[in-house]
Amino acid sequence: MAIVRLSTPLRKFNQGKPEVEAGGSTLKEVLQNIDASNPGFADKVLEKGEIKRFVNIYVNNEDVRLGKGLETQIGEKDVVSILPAVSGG
Amino acid sequence: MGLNLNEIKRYSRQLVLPDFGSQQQARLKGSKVAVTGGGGLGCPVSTYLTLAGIGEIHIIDMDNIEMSNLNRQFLYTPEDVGKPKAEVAAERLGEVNPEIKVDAIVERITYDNAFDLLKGYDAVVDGTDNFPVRYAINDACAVNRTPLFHGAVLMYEGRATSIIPKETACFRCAFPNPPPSNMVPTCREAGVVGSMVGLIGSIQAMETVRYLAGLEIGLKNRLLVINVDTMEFEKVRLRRLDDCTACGDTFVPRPVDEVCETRRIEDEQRA
Repeated sequence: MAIVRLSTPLRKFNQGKPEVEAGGSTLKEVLQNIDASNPGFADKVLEKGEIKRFVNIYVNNEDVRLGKGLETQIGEKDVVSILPAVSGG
Repeated sequence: MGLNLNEIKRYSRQLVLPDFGSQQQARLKGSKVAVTGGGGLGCPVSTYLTLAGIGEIHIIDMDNIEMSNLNRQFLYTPEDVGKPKAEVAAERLGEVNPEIKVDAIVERITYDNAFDLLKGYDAVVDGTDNFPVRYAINDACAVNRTPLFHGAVLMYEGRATSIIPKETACFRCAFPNPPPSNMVPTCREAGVVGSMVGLIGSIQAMETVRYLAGLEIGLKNRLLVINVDTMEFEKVRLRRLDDCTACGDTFVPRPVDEVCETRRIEDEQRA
Protein backbone atom coordinates (compact mmCIF):
# COMPACT_ATOMS: atom_id res chain seq x y z
CA MET A 1 0.00 0.00 0.00
CA ALA A 2 1.23 3.48 -0.84
CA ILE A 3 0.90 6.33 1.65
CA VAL A 4 -0.97 9.25 0.12
CA ARG A 5 -0.57 12.62 1.84
CA LEU A 6 -3.32 15.09 1.18
CA SER A 7 -2.90 18.84 1.24
CA THR A 8 -5.38 20.68 3.50
CA PRO A 9 -7.91 21.60 0.76
CA LEU A 10 -8.30 17.90 -0.17
CA ARG A 11 -8.78 16.47 3.30
CA LYS A 12 -12.51 17.07 3.35
CA PHE A 13 -12.70 14.26 0.80
CA ASN A 14 -10.93 11.93 3.24
CA GLN A 15 -13.01 12.47 6.40
CA GLY A 16 -10.66 15.34 7.31
CA LYS A 17 -7.67 13.03 7.63
CA PRO A 18 -4.23 14.08 6.32
CA GLU A 19 -3.19 10.67 4.98
CA VAL A 20 -4.74 7.62 3.38
CA GLU A 21 -3.22 4.26 2.44
CA ALA A 22 -4.18 2.91 -0.95
CA GLY A 23 -3.22 0.00 -3.17
CA GLY A 24 -2.57 0.07 -6.90
CA SER A 25 0.37 -0.50 -9.19
CA THR A 26 0.12 2.87 -10.95
CA LEU A 27 -0.76 6.34 -9.71
CA LYS A 28 -4.02 6.15 -11.65
CA GLU A 29 -5.04 2.96 -9.82
CA VAL A 30 -4.08 4.45 -6.46
CA LEU A 31 -6.29 7.49 -7.10
CA GLN A 32 -9.17 5.27 -8.31
CA ASN A 33 -8.88 3.16 -5.16
CA ILE A 34 -9.05 6.25 -2.94
CA ASP A 35 -12.11 7.39 -4.87
CA ALA A 36 -13.78 4.02 -4.34
CA SER A 37 -13.79 4.58 -0.58
CA ASN A 38 -14.11 8.39 -0.77
CA PRO A 39 -16.58 9.13 -3.59
CA GLY A 40 -15.92 12.51 -5.21
CA PHE A 41 -12.21 12.46 -4.47
CA ALA A 42 -11.14 11.78 -8.07
CA ASP A 43 -13.23 14.69 -9.34
CA LYS A 44 -11.16 17.05 -7.23
CA VAL A 45 -7.85 15.81 -8.62
CA LEU A 46 -8.62 14.60 -12.16
CA GLU A 47 -10.37 16.14 -15.15
CA LYS A 48 -11.10 14.24 -18.35
CA GLY A 49 -8.70 11.51 -17.30
CA GLU A 50 -5.80 13.90 -16.66
CA ILE A 51 -4.38 15.50 -13.52
CA LYS A 52 -6.04 18.89 -13.07
CA ARG A 53 -3.86 21.76 -14.22
CA PHE A 54 -3.66 23.35 -10.79
CA VAL A 55 -2.92 20.15 -8.85
CA ASN A 56 0.62 18.81 -8.45
CA ILE A 57 1.23 15.18 -7.54
CA TYR A 58 4.62 14.07 -6.25
CA VAL A 59 5.71 10.45 -5.87
CA ASN A 60 8.64 10.18 -3.47
CA ASN A 61 9.03 13.96 -3.80
CA GLU A 62 9.27 13.95 -7.63
CA ASP A 63 6.63 15.75 -9.73
CA VAL A 64 4.87 13.07 -11.83
CA ARG A 65 4.10 15.63 -14.53
CA LEU A 66 7.78 15.68 -15.39
CA GLY A 67 7.76 11.87 -15.58
CA LYS A 68 5.07 9.36 -16.48
CA GLY A 69 2.09 11.19 -15.03
CA LEU A 70 -0.79 8.92 -14.05
CA GLU A 71 1.11 5.90 -15.37
CA THR A 72 3.86 6.38 -12.74
CA GLN A 73 4.58 3.01 -11.15
CA ILE A 74 3.76 2.89 -7.46
CA GLY A 75 5.50 0.48 -5.12
CA GLU A 76 4.86 -0.60 -1.56
CA LYS A 77 5.61 2.24 0.89
CA ASP A 78 5.96 4.85 -1.85
CA VAL A 79 4.81 8.26 -0.66
CA VAL A 80 2.39 10.18 -2.86
CA SER A 81 1.78 13.87 -2.06
CA ILE A 82 -1.06 15.77 -3.66
CA LEU A 83 -0.60 19.53 -3.50
CA PRO A 84 -2.54 22.38 -5.05
CA ALA A 85 -0.99 25.84 -4.61
CA VAL A 86 -1.94 27.72 -1.45
CA SER A 87 -1.75 31.46 -1.00
CA GLY A 88 -2.55 32.42 2.60
CA GLY A 89 -0.33 34.69 4.55
CA MET B 1 30.90 48.52 4.30
CA GLY B 2 32.42 48.32 7.78
CA LEU B 3 30.70 47.73 11.11
CA ASN B 4 30.60 50.25 13.96
CA LEU B 5 31.08 49.36 17.62
CA ASN B 6 27.32 49.20 18.31
CA GLU B 7 26.85 46.81 15.42
CA ILE B 8 29.70 44.58 16.55
CA LYS B 9 28.06 44.29 19.99
CA ARG B 10 24.50 43.93 18.65
CA TYR B 11 25.38 41.20 16.18
CA SER B 12 27.99 39.45 18.34
CA ARG B 13 25.94 36.26 18.76
CA GLN B 14 25.71 35.72 15.02
CA LEU B 15 29.24 36.96 14.32
CA VAL B 16 30.62 34.03 16.34
CA LEU B 17 28.89 31.48 14.09
CA PRO B 18 31.59 29.47 12.32
CA ASP B 19 30.42 30.40 8.80
CA PHE B 20 29.34 33.94 9.62
CA GLY B 21 31.63 36.88 10.34
CA SER B 22 32.03 40.61 9.78
CA GLN B 23 32.23 40.09 6.04
CA GLN B 24 28.82 38.36 6.00
CA GLN B 25 27.37 40.96 8.38
CA ALA B 26 28.62 43.75 6.12
CA ARG B 27 26.86 42.08 3.19
CA LEU B 28 23.58 42.15 5.13
CA LYS B 29 24.19 45.81 6.00
CA GLY B 30 24.63 46.61 2.32
CA SER B 31 21.40 44.80 1.30
CA LYS B 32 18.03 46.27 0.42
CA VAL B 33 14.99 43.99 0.82
CA ALA B 34 11.27 44.40 0.12
CA VAL B 35 8.80 42.55 2.33
CA THR B 36 5.47 42.33 0.53
CA GLY B 37 2.75 42.24 3.13
CA GLY B 38 2.89 43.32 6.76
CA GLY B 39 0.56 40.58 7.96
CA GLY B 40 0.95 37.10 9.43
CA LEU B 41 4.05 36.27 7.41
CA GLY B 42 5.23 39.86 7.05
CA CYS B 43 5.54 40.37 10.82
CA PRO B 44 8.01 37.53 11.49
CA VAL B 45 9.82 38.08 8.18
CA SER B 46 10.39 41.80 8.71
CA THR B 47 11.21 41.33 12.40
CA TYR B 48 13.91 38.72 11.76
CA LEU B 49 15.38 40.69 8.86
CA THR B 50 15.51 43.73 11.16
CA LEU B 51 17.18 41.79 13.96
CA ALA B 52 19.69 40.22 11.55
CA GLY B 53 20.80 43.65 10.36
CA ILE B 54 19.56 43.95 6.76
CA GLY B 55 20.58 47.54 5.93
CA GLU B 56 17.38 48.70 4.27
CA ILE B 57 13.93 47.12 4.52
CA HIS B 58 10.78 48.31 2.76
CA ILE B 59 7.46 46.95 4.02
CA ILE B 60 4.80 47.15 1.32
CA ASP B 61 1.18 46.89 2.46
CA MET B 62 -1.83 49.09 1.99
CA ASP B 63 -4.09 47.46 4.61
CA ASN B 64 -4.99 48.95 7.94
CA ILE B 65 -4.66 46.99 11.18
CA GLU B 66 -7.79 45.12 12.30
CA MET B 67 -8.54 43.56 15.66
CA SER B 68 -8.71 40.11 14.00
CA ASN B 69 -5.03 40.49 12.97
CA LEU B 70 -3.82 40.47 16.54
CA ASN B 71 -3.77 36.68 17.10
CA ARG B 72 -0.70 36.50 14.87
CA GLN B 73 0.55 39.92 13.75
CA PHE B 74 2.66 40.66 16.79
CA LEU B 75 4.00 44.05 15.70
CA TYR B 76 0.60 45.63 16.40
CA THR B 77 -1.36 46.49 19.55
CA PRO B 78 -5.09 47.21 20.05
CA GLU B 79 -4.26 50.95 19.99
CA ASP B 80 -2.95 50.51 16.43
CA VAL B 81 -6.29 49.28 15.01
CA GLY B 82 -7.19 51.41 11.99
CA LYS B 83 -3.63 52.54 11.28
CA PRO B 84 -1.67 51.43 8.17
CA LYS B 85 0.23 48.20 8.87
CA ALA B 86 3.30 49.20 6.87
CA GLU B 87 3.74 52.48 8.77
CA VAL B 88 3.28 50.98 12.23
CA ALA B 89 5.57 48.03 11.43
CA ALA B 90 8.28 50.29 9.99
CA GLU B 91 8.17 52.63 12.97
CA ARG B 92 8.31 49.80 15.52
CA LEU B 93 11.11 47.93 13.76
CA GLY B 94 13.09 51.16 13.37
CA GLU B 95 13.02 51.40 17.17
CA VAL B 96 14.05 47.78 17.56
CA ASN B 97 17.16 48.29 15.42
CA PRO B 98 18.24 51.92 14.95
CA GLU B 99 21.30 50.77 12.98
CA ILE B 100 19.16 50.05 9.90
CA LYS B 101 16.56 51.84 7.78
CA VAL B 102 12.98 50.53 7.72
CA ASP B 103 10.50 52.30 5.43
CA ALA B 104 6.80 51.86 4.72
CA ILE B 105 5.26 51.78 1.27
CA VAL B 106 1.49 52.07 1.65
CA GLU B 107 0.46 50.81 -1.75
CA ARG B 108 -1.53 47.92 -3.24
CA ILE B 109 0.59 45.61 -5.40
CA THR B 110 -1.02 44.82 -8.75
CA TYR B 111 0.13 43.15 -11.95
CA ASP B 112 0.48 46.63 -13.47
CA ASN B 113 2.69 48.19 -10.80
CA ALA B 114 4.63 45.18 -9.42
CA PHE B 115 7.40 45.34 -12.01
CA ASP B 116 8.33 48.95 -11.10
CA LEU B 117 7.47 48.74 -7.43
CA LEU B 118 9.77 45.75 -6.87
CA LYS B 119 12.73 47.03 -8.90
CA GLY B 120 16.10 47.67 -7.30
CA TYR B 121 15.98 45.20 -4.40
CA ASP B 122 18.54 42.55 -3.54
CA ALA B 123 15.66 40.28 -2.47
CA VAL B 124 11.89 40.26 -2.16
CA VAL B 125 10.18 38.24 0.56
CA ASP B 126 6.55 37.42 -0.17
CA GLY B 127 4.08 37.48 2.68
CA THR B 128 0.94 38.39 0.74
CA ASP B 129 -2.33 36.49 0.98
CA ASN B 130 -3.87 35.95 -2.44
CA PHE B 131 -3.08 34.45 -5.82
CA PRO B 132 -3.38 37.52 -8.10
CA VAL B 133 -0.76 39.40 -6.07
CA ARG B 134 1.47 36.35 -5.57
CA TYR B 135 1.64 35.68 -9.31
CA ALA B 136 2.28 39.41 -9.97
CA ILE B 137 5.19 39.38 -7.51
CA ASN B 138 6.57 36.15 -8.97
CA ASP B 139 6.46 37.47 -12.54
CA ALA B 140 7.96 40.84 -11.55
CA CYS B 141 10.85 39.17 -9.72
CA ALA B 142 11.45 36.83 -12.65
CA VAL B 143 11.61 39.74 -15.10
CA ASN B 144 13.62 41.97 -12.74
CA ARG B 145 15.91 39.00 -11.89
CA THR B 146 15.37 39.52 -8.17
CA PRO B 147 15.60 36.59 -5.74
CA LEU B 148 12.18 35.86 -4.23
CA PHE B 149 11.63 34.07 -0.95
CA HIS B 150 8.17 32.53 -1.04
CA GLY B 151 6.04 31.40 1.88
CA ALA B 152 2.34 30.55 2.14
CA VAL B 153 0.04 29.12 4.75
CA LEU B 154 -3.34 27.43 4.91
CA MET B 155 -4.66 26.37 8.30
CA TYR B 156 -2.04 23.96 9.72
CA GLU B 157 -0.13 23.63 6.44
CA GLY B 158 2.75 25.84 5.34
CA ARG B 159 4.97 26.06 2.29
CA ALA B 160 8.25 27.77 1.49
CA THR B 161 10.67 27.88 -1.44
CA SER B 162 13.57 30.12 -2.48
CA ILE B 163 13.48 31.35 -6.05
CA ILE B 164 16.79 32.44 -7.58
CA PRO B 165 16.31 33.87 -11.10
CA LYS B 166 17.69 31.78 -13.98
CA GLU B 167 18.85 29.18 -11.46
CA THR B 168 15.76 27.68 -9.85
CA ALA B 169 12.12 26.98 -10.54
CA CYS B 170 9.85 29.95 -9.91
CA PHE B 171 6.38 29.82 -8.34
CA ARG B 172 4.84 29.63 -11.80
CA CYS B 173 7.12 26.73 -12.82
CA ALA B 174 5.78 24.87 -9.80
CA PHE B 175 2.16 26.01 -10.14
CA PRO B 176 1.51 27.34 -13.66
CA ASN B 177 -2.16 27.85 -12.80
CA PRO B 178 -3.83 28.95 -9.58
CA PRO B 179 -6.64 26.75 -8.28
CA PRO B 180 -10.21 27.98 -8.65
CA SER B 181 -11.18 30.15 -5.72
CA ASN B 182 -13.69 27.67 -4.33
CA MET B 183 -10.96 25.04 -3.94
CA VAL B 184 -8.45 26.82 -1.72
CA PRO B 185 -9.87 29.01 1.03
CA THR B 186 -8.06 32.05 2.43
CA CYS B 187 -6.86 32.41 6.03
CA ARG B 188 -9.90 34.59 6.70
CA GLU B 189 -12.16 31.72 5.68
CA ALA B 190 -10.20 28.73 6.91
CA GLY B 191 -8.41 30.08 9.97
CA VAL B 192 -4.78 30.40 11.01
CA VAL B 193 -2.80 30.31 14.26
CA GLY B 194 0.05 32.73 14.95
CA SER B 195 2.79 30.15 15.41
CA MET B 196 2.03 28.66 11.97
CA VAL B 197 2.78 31.90 10.12
CA GLY B 198 5.63 32.47 12.58
CA LEU B 199 7.18 29.17 11.55
CA ILE B 200 6.98 29.81 7.82
CA GLY B 201 7.97 33.48 8.11
CA SER B 202 11.04 32.50 10.14
CA ILE B 203 12.06 30.04 7.44
CA GLN B 204 11.67 32.71 4.75
CA ALA B 205 13.76 35.14 6.79
CA MET B 206 16.43 32.49 7.44
CA GLU B 207 16.76 31.70 3.75
CA THR B 208 16.92 35.41 2.88
CA VAL B 209 19.59 36.15 5.48
CA ARG B 210 21.75 33.17 4.47
CA TYR B 211 21.40 33.99 0.78
CA LEU B 212 22.29 37.67 1.23
CA ALA B 213 25.22 36.74 3.49
CA GLY B 214 26.53 34.55 0.66
CA LEU B 215 25.87 31.23 2.41
CA GLU B 216 24.30 28.09 0.95
CA ILE B 217 20.52 27.81 1.21
CA GLY B 218 18.37 24.69 1.39
CA LEU B 219 15.20 25.60 -0.50
CA LYS B 220 16.53 26.14 -4.02
CA ASN B 221 14.40 23.96 -6.33
CA ARG B 222 12.69 22.53 -3.27
CA LEU B 223 9.22 23.23 -1.93
CA LEU B 224 9.14 22.69 1.80
CA VAL B 225 5.71 21.43 2.86
CA ILE B 226 4.99 21.45 6.59
CA ASN B 227 1.90 20.04 8.24
CA VAL B 228 1.95 20.90 11.91
CA ASP B 229 -1.04 18.72 12.79
CA THR B 230 1.09 15.67 11.98
CA MET B 231 4.47 17.48 12.23
CA GLU B 232 5.39 16.10 8.80
CA PHE B 233 8.09 18.12 7.10
CA GLU B 234 8.73 17.16 3.46
CA LYS B 235 10.67 18.75 0.64
CA VAL B 236 9.40 18.04 -2.86
CA ARG B 237 11.60 18.69 -5.86
CA LEU B 238 10.80 21.58 -8.21
CA ARG B 239 12.23 21.94 -11.71
CA ARG B 240 12.74 25.03 -13.83
CA LEU B 241 10.66 24.95 -16.99
CA ASP B 242 12.26 26.40 -20.14
CA ASP B 243 8.79 27.28 -21.41
CA CYS B 244 7.66 28.92 -18.15
CA THR B 245 5.83 32.13 -19.08
CA ALA B 246 7.49 33.99 -16.18
CA CYS B 247 11.11 32.83 -15.96
CA GLY B 248 11.49 30.80 -19.18
CA ASP B 249 12.97 31.75 -22.54
CA THR B 250 10.14 34.16 -23.43
CA PHE B 251 8.26 36.23 -20.88
CA VAL B 252 4.51 36.36 -21.38
CA PRO B 253 2.51 38.64 -19.05
CA ARG B 254 -0.22 36.56 -17.43
CA PRO B 255 -2.11 38.48 -14.77
CA VAL B 256 -4.20 36.18 -12.62
CA ASP B 257 -7.82 37.08 -12.95
CA GLU B 258 -9.44 38.60 -9.92
CA VAL B 259 -12.81 37.66 -11.34
CA CYS B 260 -12.63 34.36 -9.45
CA GLU B 261 -12.48 36.35 -6.21
CA THR B 262 -15.57 38.35 -7.22
CA ARG B 263 -17.36 35.15 -8.12
CA ARG B 264 -16.56 33.69 -4.70
CA ILE B 265 -18.05 36.71 -2.94
CA GLU B 266 -21.15 36.47 -5.13
CA ASP B 267 -21.43 32.77 -4.29
CA GLU B 268 -21.20 33.55 -0.60
CA GLN B 269 -23.86 36.24 -0.89
CA ARG B 270 -26.13 33.83 -2.73
CA ALA B 271 -25.59 31.20 -0.03
